[in-house]
Amino acid sequence: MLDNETCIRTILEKFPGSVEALELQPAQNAIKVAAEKIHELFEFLVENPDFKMNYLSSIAGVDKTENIEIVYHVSSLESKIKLTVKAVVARSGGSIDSIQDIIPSANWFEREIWELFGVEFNGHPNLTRFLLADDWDQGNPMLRDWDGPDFVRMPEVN
Amino acid sequence: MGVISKLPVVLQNIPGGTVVATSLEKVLNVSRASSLWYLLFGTACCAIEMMCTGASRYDFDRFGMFFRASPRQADLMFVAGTISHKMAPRVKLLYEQMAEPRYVIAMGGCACNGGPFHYDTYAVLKGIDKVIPVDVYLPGCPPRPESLLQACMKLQEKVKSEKLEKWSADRRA
Repeated sequence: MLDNETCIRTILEKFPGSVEALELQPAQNAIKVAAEKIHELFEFLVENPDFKMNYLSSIAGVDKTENIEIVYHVSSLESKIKLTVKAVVARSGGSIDSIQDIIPSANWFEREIWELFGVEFNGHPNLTRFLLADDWDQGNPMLRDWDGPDFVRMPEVN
Repeated sequence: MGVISKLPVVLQNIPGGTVVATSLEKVLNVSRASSLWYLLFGTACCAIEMMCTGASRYDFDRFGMFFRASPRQADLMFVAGTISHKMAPRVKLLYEQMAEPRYVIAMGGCACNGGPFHYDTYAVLKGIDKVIPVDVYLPGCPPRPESLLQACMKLQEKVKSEKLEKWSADRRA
């Protein structure tokens, strides 16, 4: 069983130059990966016998104002490793490779991020709307500068 | 503590007989007010309070109110919970499927004006009166069963005061 440091070091050695380690909280494995390497990274994480990442908890989008961060929370029920993977994409017209061919449960997470943030997932078979109203035509509402016709911003409270 | 809907005082008992004379308006209004069958419609936590009101401790049955699972058999709709923009067309459809006369109680802050989801949301409808007409607004988050019972009594007052000539009119107009 890999400990946290070995786990991060193995990934850094496998993907030199495109992965950096992040220190978020103690005992939390986190890495930042170049967006074009995401598919390759997850292939490695799923197939490598030391990792055997088989459980994708969630994929989240974060609007960082200058770009959008895609955060993958992935863990393994066999090797007991938990890993947070971050990838940065452009804010308008950003795209990243889909990982749903490796981990099928990523399918709906990616659809959700496509719908709410407008990030394209290359290779996704079914990027269609399923959360917002059927006649929605107001863009991607989770972006921080989004505004709609009946959107009311919380007033400043002192 | 049962609620008894007394027949109107204008009702006159003809001596010795089983026949009573009253106005059609009063009889129909009292019948309707005393048998408001409601559509089960709960989308959030207010529905828990509505279920509690329907159960034995608070007991809707003593108002003559029973839940119906079909809008075709319902006179009243409690909109109990948050209505999202995606849900709004379905609420409207259910309302239109109900036979007239039909009544709506907006239960809880979300149904009244969006409640805790009024600000900073892209998804929540800010009050169901943007979609369907509302007879009684019941604020609270969620309102207690007693409040819901009071809202029903308010609605009964409204039903009892309806006029014969307005029964067929489209209330949306």
